[in-house]
Amino acid sequence: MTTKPTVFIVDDDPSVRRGLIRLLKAAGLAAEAFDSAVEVLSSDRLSGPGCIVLDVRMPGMTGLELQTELLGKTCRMPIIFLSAHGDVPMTAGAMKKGAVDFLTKPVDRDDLLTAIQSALEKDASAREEQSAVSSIREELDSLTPREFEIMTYVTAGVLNKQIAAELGIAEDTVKIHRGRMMHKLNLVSVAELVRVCERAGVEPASIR
Amino acid sequence: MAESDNMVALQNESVLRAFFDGSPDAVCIRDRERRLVLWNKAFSEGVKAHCGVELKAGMRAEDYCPEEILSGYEQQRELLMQALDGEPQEAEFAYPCPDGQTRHLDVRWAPIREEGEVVAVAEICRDITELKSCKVDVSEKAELFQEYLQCGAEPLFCFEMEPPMPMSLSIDEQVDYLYRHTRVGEANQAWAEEAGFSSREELIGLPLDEVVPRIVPENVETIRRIAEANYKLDSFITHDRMQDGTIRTILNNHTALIKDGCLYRTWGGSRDITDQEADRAKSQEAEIKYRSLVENAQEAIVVTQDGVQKFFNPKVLELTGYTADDLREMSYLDYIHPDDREMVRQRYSERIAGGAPQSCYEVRIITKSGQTKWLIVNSARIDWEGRPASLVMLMDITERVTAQKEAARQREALTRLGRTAGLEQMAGSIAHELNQPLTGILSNAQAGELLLNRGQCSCEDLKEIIEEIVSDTKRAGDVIRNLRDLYRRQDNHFEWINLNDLVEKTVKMLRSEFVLQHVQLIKDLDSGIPEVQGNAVQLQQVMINLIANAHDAMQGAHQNGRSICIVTSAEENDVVFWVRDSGSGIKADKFETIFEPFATWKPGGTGMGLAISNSIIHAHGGRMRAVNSPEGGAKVGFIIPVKKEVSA
Repeated sequence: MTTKPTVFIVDDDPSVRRGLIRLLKAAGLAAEAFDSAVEVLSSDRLSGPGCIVLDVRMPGMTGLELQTELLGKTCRMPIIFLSAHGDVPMTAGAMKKGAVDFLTKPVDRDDLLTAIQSALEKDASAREEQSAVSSIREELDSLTPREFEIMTYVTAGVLNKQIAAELGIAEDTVKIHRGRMMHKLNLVSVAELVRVCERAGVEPASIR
Repeated sequence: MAESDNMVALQNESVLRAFFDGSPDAVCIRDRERRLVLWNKAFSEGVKAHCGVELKAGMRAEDYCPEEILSGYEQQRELLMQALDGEPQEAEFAYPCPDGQTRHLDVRWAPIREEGEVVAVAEICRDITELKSCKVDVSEKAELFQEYLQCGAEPLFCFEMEPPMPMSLSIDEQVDYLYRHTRVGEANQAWAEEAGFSSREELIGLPLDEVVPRIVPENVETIRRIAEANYKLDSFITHDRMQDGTIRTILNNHTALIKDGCLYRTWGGSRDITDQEADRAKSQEAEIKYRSLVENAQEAIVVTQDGVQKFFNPKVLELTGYTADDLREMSYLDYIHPDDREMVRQRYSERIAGGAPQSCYEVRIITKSGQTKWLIVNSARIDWEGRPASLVMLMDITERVTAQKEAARQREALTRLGRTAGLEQMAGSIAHELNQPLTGILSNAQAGELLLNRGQCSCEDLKEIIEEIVSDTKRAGDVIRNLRDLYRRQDNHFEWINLNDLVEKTVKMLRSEFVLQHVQLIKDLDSGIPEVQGNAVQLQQVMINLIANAHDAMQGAHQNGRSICIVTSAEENDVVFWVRDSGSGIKADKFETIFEPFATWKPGGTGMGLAISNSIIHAHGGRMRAVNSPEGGAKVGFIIPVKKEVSA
């Protein structure tokens, strides 16, 4: 995880591309430029850490459309929009879809760097979160189906006796599965279990 | 008794002697030996004058006549000898005179008898030189006159009085006498025809009354007039009634032969000038008509020659406020507006020199009270008193020009309103065009600042940064310039315009709008279109309006099919501009009102765009067109005529 984050600039205008690249490099950032949305979509550079500085108005696919496309491809790289217009409805739509910031051209260095900074931080924390969740998922994958099943009842707040009745097994058997499950997940309290399941996106069992 | 007394008196020698001496004829009496016996005063003076000799009794002709005269004397002596034989003789002789002239003498010899015997001869010499030359003259002239008379196209006639009329009669008596004693002596064919006769022979010999009937009062009046002028009257006009009843205007000339107080004959000529007279009357009438036209004309009329105003009608005074005296002393340029003087002067000089400068144009003058007036000038080269001059008609169009200016001002105001409306549509696009280079500039500048602060900035870096800033700044400047071209106030300035250039400029301004709306822009420009006279700002506004409309028309259409096609082409004497969109077209019921104000089908539209465009195109002499294209969508555009150069 020591890869240096890269700022990807997407703008059809060479003046803007050249200026921004120069500025970001002078600020000590790694920066790359694309001249169209299509070029971005066909690139494999977007998996690494970084953020996108995206022009709203481009021929072919606009910045807003590219944002939608990227979301569909589960690319979560934070996007900073640059607009030469700054019209409000466009801003609102973009922000709703998770844009980090919406800046108007010509953009001041400090505003841009601040936005990039926070985008990169957001990207870093997202990546951290992402890696935490994936280690939890690995642990969850080590559970047996019965242990996983019992876990969903536990996070739903169901008592051992009820779980036994529900599954048609002995209460002691429930206790054994539950103990192994907590051990495998390296947890001691139900509260911790609930938080882990939440992060991993595991829904509690629904009780009739 | 009285008679015999007279006879006695006549026989008295002294009386005879007085008669003899007082006669103008030179008389002498020669004896049978041809010697002079007696001579009178005229004879002695004549001989003295011609021969330089004092006569003495007994001299013969050879005694006093010089050689040259004597050479012709042979015949005379012969005749004298015959007279001595008893036969009276007479003859004419021509004598050369010392002064070189030839004199003619009529000489008669009469025998004098005494008791039946011829004792002497009386020789009576009369100088007929004057008479003779007169006769020759008259006969020569008569021949010429006869010829002229017969051949002349103009009626000529001669009346003869028989017997000749004494001029001592009173006028009334003369008229009466003429009607009783005058016949046509001579007439030519022209007169015969005019008088209604088939030939001149028919006319000759007719009494006056049959040719110029006395019962016609005008005839009598005419004769009276001639008589009062002693029958010599030039160029007098009569109105004669012709046989067909028409009245003709006749110009007459009349002269007469009056001798010894008697009128022998009159000569006359007449000329029918009815037609010329009618023409003259017409031209006089026309002159009166034109004069009154000029005096009362709505236009001011001036004739200028040598830079001086030779003529002006009352309207000029009214127009300029100057008096006639002022104008006579002023140059024709003095009241022309200073800015127009050079133009007027040039055209005037060119016209006088025979050139053909523009003859109808507008010009400003300044009246005496300092007011500026607009005139329309119409000028032509004329001959004034035989030399070239300029005839100028001036019409006051100040009111019209003022009204036109007001209309133009209103149109401009409307146009500007329309432009403001267009601004909204263009604002986003223009902001984008401007902000792009500004972004480049700011980023480069701040990058440079960063690098310098850190001491990491190489000369190479700095050079690149500055180059890019310069290039981006220029780009931003271009955007501003285009924008200013569109929005600056520029009152109806017409110039030569290539519509293709204007399309390119306009499209550049709107480009980013197309991009955002996924509109595909197709340009189908005919590079061969001629330039047109127009106002670039206004025409560009029309283009923006039409393109923006096309753009708006496609809001509902699917993104993939949005396209705008801009077409220019040349059609005969017109240049055509079209914008075709791929929208849903114009509804049939909208065609009629599409160019009228407040007709809109767009939510939030003012309905002014096409109306303003329409008024702009009208001002360019063109017209707007709107049709639905067979490929779908609407085609809206305009046609502007390619005019010849319009000078100011």
